[in-house]
Amino acid sequence: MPRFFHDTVEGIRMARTALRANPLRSSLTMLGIIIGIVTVTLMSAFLTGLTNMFHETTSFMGTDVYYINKFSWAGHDWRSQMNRPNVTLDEFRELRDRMTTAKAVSVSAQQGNENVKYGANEVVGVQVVGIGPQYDVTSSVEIADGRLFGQQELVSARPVCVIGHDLWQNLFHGANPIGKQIRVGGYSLEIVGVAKQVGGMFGQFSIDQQVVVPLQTLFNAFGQPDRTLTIAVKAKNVLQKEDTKAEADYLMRVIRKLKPSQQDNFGINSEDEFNDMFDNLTRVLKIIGLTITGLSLLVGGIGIMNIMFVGVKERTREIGIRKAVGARRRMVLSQFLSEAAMLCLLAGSVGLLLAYAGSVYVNTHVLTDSSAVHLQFTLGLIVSGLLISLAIGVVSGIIPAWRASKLDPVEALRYE
Amino acid sequence: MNEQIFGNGQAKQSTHTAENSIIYLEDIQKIYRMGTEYVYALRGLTIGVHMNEYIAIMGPSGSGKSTLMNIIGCLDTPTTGNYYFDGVNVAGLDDNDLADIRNRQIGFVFQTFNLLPRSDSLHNVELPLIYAGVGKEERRQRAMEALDHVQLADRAHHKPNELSGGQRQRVAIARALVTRPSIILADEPTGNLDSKTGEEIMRLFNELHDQGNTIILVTHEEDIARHAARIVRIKDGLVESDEPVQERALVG
Repeated sequence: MPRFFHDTVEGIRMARTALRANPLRSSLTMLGIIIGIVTVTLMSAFLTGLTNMFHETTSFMGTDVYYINKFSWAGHDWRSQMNRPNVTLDEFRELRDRMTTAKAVSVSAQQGNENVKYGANEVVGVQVVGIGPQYDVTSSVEIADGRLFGQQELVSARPVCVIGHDLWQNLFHGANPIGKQIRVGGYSLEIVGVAKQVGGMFGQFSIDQQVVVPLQTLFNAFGQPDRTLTIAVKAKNVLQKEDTKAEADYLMRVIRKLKPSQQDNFGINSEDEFNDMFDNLTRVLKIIGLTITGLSLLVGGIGIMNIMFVGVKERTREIGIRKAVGARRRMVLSQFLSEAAMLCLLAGSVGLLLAYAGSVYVNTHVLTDSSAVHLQFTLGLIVSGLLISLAIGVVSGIIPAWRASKLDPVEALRYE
Repeated sequence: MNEQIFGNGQAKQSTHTAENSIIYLEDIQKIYRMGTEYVYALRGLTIGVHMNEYIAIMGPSGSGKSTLMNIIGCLDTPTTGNYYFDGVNVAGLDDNDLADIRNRQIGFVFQTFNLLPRSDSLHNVELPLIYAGVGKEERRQRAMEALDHVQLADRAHHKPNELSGGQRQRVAIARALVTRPSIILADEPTGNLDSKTGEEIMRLFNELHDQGNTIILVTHEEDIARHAARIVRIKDGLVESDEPVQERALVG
């Protein structure tokens, strides 16, 4: 083993000398790998940023909250789910009364695509959310200004609302909206509060662009029949949230009188399902993005292989000399393999440095909006970048190095 | 076969056997295939060299002289026949074993010096020690001693292109000596040098011989060959003559 160590160290020393002897060629050869590592790293940083941003944004749902809907988020079979019964107010009440492992159970309903007017300002395509009691417990909605609805307002269906941050900006341009009347789909509502900005990538699906009203108010304004509701169940104990999910599932089946042989005809969704759905959607994006950028690495690797072949050819006589004075095959192999590996590792390091500088620049000068995706440069990215560089060096260096090690010393010494 | 090689009725030379020689080649054939033709470079040659002998191998081009040198130097293997190096038959050894023998037992000196052009003298001399697995400190020290031996200690950090031809060849000789090999195999060592420098190199070989080294000199120049104590002439892949040198050049 010490002999192997000795040979490896000497191989690396020889490789270093050879690379130093030809700095221009070494750097030109490295260029391909540098470009490859920069593109792959930036693409990975972007994809990581995208995924993290999504997961951060979905965290407003809370990791311990289950949403019982007509549809399953992660499901694929939307057509058969269309025939499922709506989630009703009665089902909500029964579930709420029977749940034992829930901290809170709340209900909400959505009314999509309404126009909201204040004076001459109008925002189109706004989602209106009707909420019941304890919605503030099951959701992470926070009030920036004013207040959320009181118990009396919820029960008596008062025409009051809380508006999202973006909506407030667009309608009032920063002026105080509390107590003002807005018209939502022709229905007049008084603003009692403004929700705190969530940010993120959901656009109109986030509370930033929504109007929140008491559930009964939504029913009064837009009608109740044929409306499916969302029941939110927050677990008592985060660590035992699976129990809460199981209980909710069991109780819904009891409430709907499902036989053991029948499948659930409702969806129990959570942040996890939402993230899974996103990951499924972005998987293709990741594969395509990394494949295309990976091609540049392949080209870089071919460049390394080419220059190694040239190097072996040029240094045939040197190889002959080394063999004449007693270099074993393995030593010659390790010398040229080290050369390719060092070339690629060096290129990989330069590429990572450039990519890091690039991502810092992009994050501070281009993607400055807080709601935009940011490039995320992680430690894992650095480690995998270096490992990939090393692997490319070994793979593209092995054949030229093998050829060098197989040279006949007599022929090699005669080579001019 | 022995009759032919050790002809001349010289009992002294016919005493070579595989047991008492540092190298002993027995009935060596080397056959190259060129397309459909077979070329016989060596046709059953037998030759032995004692420890601390100084022999010159002579022959015109095409005589098989280079092939013989490559086989003696373990750079090539014979097609048939036995080659005993210090009593061990090396004819059937694989590449790595041959590399080890070249590394430990043989010091090469070439006509074209064959130094690594981008490395300084010291590194060129320590190269065989790297492949012998010698650690850095000891390597440096032994390489410096070898350079000192050829009076080039002050050129340790010069690269070959900063040295004269004679100095380059002395670096190559230092490289050949550094592993303390059993034989020094010199192939036309003065071929690329002017006659004055060539003489200096030959004087160095004489000194090395006096110090106990075994030297095998391959040359086609009579004057150079006469430095050796014994001349073996090769023709058409066989030993033509093998006799001691009566009046050696430079001796005394």
